[in-house]
Amino acid sequence: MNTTVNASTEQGSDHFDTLVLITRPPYQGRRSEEILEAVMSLALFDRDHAVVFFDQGLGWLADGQAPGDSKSLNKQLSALPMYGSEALFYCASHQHRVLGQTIARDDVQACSLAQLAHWLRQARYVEVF
Amino acid sequence: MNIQLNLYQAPWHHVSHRDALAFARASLVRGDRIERVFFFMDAVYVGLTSQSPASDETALRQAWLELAAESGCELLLCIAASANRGLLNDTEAERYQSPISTVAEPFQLVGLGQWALGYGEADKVVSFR
Repeated sequence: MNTTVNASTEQGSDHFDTLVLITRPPYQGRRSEEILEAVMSLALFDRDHAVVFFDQGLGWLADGQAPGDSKSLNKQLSALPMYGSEALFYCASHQHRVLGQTIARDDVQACSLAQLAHWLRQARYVEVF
Repeated sequence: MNIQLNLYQAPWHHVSHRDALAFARASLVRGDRIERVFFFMDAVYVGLTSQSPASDETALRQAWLELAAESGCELLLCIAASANRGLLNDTEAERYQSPISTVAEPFQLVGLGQWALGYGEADKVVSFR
C-alpha cells in the first residue's frame, strides 16, 4: 500500500527542476510511446525531474493491461527507474474516480493535490502531455 | 531571455504553430532570444518539403523558415518521430534506402537529447499543444 506524499509532510522531494504531468489516457498511438521516450531522455541527460500521472493519465497505471497489437505501457513504465527516472507519482484524489482500483505498484507513489501544487510552484519547468 | 519552444501538434491540426510563431515574434521584439524550436510527435510534419498548402492557408513551413532566418534559431525535428512518419533528410534517406528525402535544411533531424537539454539550458521552455 502506498502512502500519500503531502505538502505538509517531510516525505518526498521538496523540489524538482522539471515536472512532467501525464494527463491523457495511454494507448494514444505512437504518441504514448513518445511520451515515455521523452521522459527517458530527461533521465539520460540527468535532468532533475518528476513524473505525475494526473486525471486520465492514471490509466497508464491500470492493472492487467493487455493491448492486442502493442507492448504494455504499464510494463514499459517499469523500465523508467532503470533509466534514472525514479520520481514517479500519481494524483491520489483521482485514483478511484479514474481507475476504480487500488494502484499496487511499488515504483509509483501517491501524492496529494497540495503536494502537486507545491511542486508546480517550485518547478523551473512544467511539461504537460 | 533564452527561450526554447516545443511543438507537439501537426501543423494542420491545431492553431499551436500559429500561436508559437506569434509568441516567437513577440519575444524577439522584446529582445528575447529564441534559441531553438523543437518539433516532436506530429509537429515534425511541418518540416515536410512536399507539403503544398492551399493559397488561402498559412504556409507554416515557410513561416518557420522566415523566423529562423530572422532570428537565427535552430529548427529541430525529432529524428525518431520523423523517421516513423516518413520524414527523412538526405542522410537518413540513404540509411533507410529510401528513394527520396523529404526534409531539407535549415530543419535538422536530431535526437530527443536536444529536447531534454533545454530543461536546464534555457531560461524558459514554452510548449504549444
